[in-house]
Amino acid sequence: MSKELRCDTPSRRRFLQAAGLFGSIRLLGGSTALGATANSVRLPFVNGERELTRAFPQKGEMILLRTRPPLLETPFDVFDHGVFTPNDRFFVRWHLPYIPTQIDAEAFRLTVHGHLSKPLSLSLHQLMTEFESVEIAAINQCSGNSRGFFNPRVPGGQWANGAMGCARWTGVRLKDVLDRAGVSRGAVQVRFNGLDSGILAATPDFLKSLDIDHARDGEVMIAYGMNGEQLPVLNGFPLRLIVPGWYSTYWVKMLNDIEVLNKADDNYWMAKAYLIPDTPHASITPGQTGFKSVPINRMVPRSFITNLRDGDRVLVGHTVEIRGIAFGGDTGLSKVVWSRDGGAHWTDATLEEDHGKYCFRRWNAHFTPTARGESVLMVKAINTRGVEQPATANWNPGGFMRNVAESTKITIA
Amino acid sequence: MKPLLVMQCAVALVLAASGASMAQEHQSTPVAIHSVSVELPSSTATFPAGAGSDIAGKCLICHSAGMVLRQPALTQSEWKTEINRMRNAYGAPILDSEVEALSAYLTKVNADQQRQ
Repeated sequence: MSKELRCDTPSRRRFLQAAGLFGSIRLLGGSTALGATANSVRLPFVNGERELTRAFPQKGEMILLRTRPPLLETPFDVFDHGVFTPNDRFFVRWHLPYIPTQIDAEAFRLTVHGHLSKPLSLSLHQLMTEFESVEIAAINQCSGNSRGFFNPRVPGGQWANGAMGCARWTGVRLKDVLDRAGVSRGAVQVRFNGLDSGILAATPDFLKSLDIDHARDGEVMIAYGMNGEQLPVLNGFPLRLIVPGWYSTYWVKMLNDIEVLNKADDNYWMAKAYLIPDTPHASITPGQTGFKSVPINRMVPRSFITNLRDGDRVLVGHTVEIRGIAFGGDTGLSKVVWSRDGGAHWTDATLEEDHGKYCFRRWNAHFTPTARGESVLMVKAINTRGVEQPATANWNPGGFMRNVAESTKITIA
Repeated sequence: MKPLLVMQCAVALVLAASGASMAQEHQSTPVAIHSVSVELPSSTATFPAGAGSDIAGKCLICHSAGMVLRQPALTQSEWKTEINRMRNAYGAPILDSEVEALSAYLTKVNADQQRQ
């Protein structure tokens, strides 16, 4: 894979995909499952009516879940256009109501302090010129992505599948910054804070921590670039922590403070929020009690069909292209398999270009329906450690880590 | 506004021993950093009128009404849990004596939402 290919292919492929879309499917009218009016969309669960908004700075059309602090979902058709989610369509999720809207790039400082020998206060210029620059393609996915599909339903942000995105992140290794600060013996965790805050004094500031070895693994980075541009304000300008393979809650936005701790972080956002059952698939029976909880951590594999939706119709005897995106979670993708009969039989899909193990990967398959009727298309990702998407959905009271193999019901006419 | 910084990154990463090596890439993307000044929109979502809507107004100190109105069907007991979480974890200034009325209000509004 050459550098040039990486830079050039997404836009070209986007064009070809768009051309292909009109050539093969949707001959008999589009989906009604997600359609509503031009200014709204109906997500496929109860109380799923959503406004489509263009009111947010540096953002194109997004699904509005909450205005303040903003929760904006990426319309799912965006994922059919390529593996890199455009910055202006990338999902947005803030916890606390005070979000700076004016940030002076020259005055901004990143402070590094705590259990270390040399506290730092770094300007953006220093960060960009005094440390080696690295780039990684990585998926940022909300812990509660797809929460709206939980059954029974759970309270929280009622996302469909669009609280995720993949970008090329440019920045510096957290390890390099910590090394310059001289982490002291006995360091246990590293805690990250951003410029956002609550309005009430009692609201706990949004702080997240990683174990020291994870923080120093050379992959975790501090990004100032997103798809080759500075980050949109709502995605964390000027700096965001990038934690490849881990859920978005750790990817602290507007990162301006790093503290090395000599004990495990017991702040609210680590000890009380974003906890999952310490069980397979973080799954329990509704109502179950007495299970151990742990902070959410590594992502799990997922895959999606992006060019067909529930209710779409295709023609018997005509070849249908199915395509989509998949990812391995905290490691690369081994393969993607698909089924046209609700999971009774599975066939390998063709994997397209590999942009790195933490990135979306496109896949495709073709089939020619031979009989009219309903068909349940399914897709399943299997990662390089052999972990595959489960056939049944997990459940937990937080609505976290959904990754059941997805089904799409189409009609062959 | 002229860019404060333009970073022309050199080919950066030498293959290292860690698992990071294959994922992190050489790159040459110049990233220009400008100061920003943006405005966030105000919410147009409002709590429907009704007994308890005045108490619900306190919720708006920290967040707009939209996410509350977009919840799935929740029982009054589940609403009390949410209200108490807002009080205990985030400091929402909702009095003990207001929890019953607020939870009744949210239960009713929420039930109406499920029919839409």
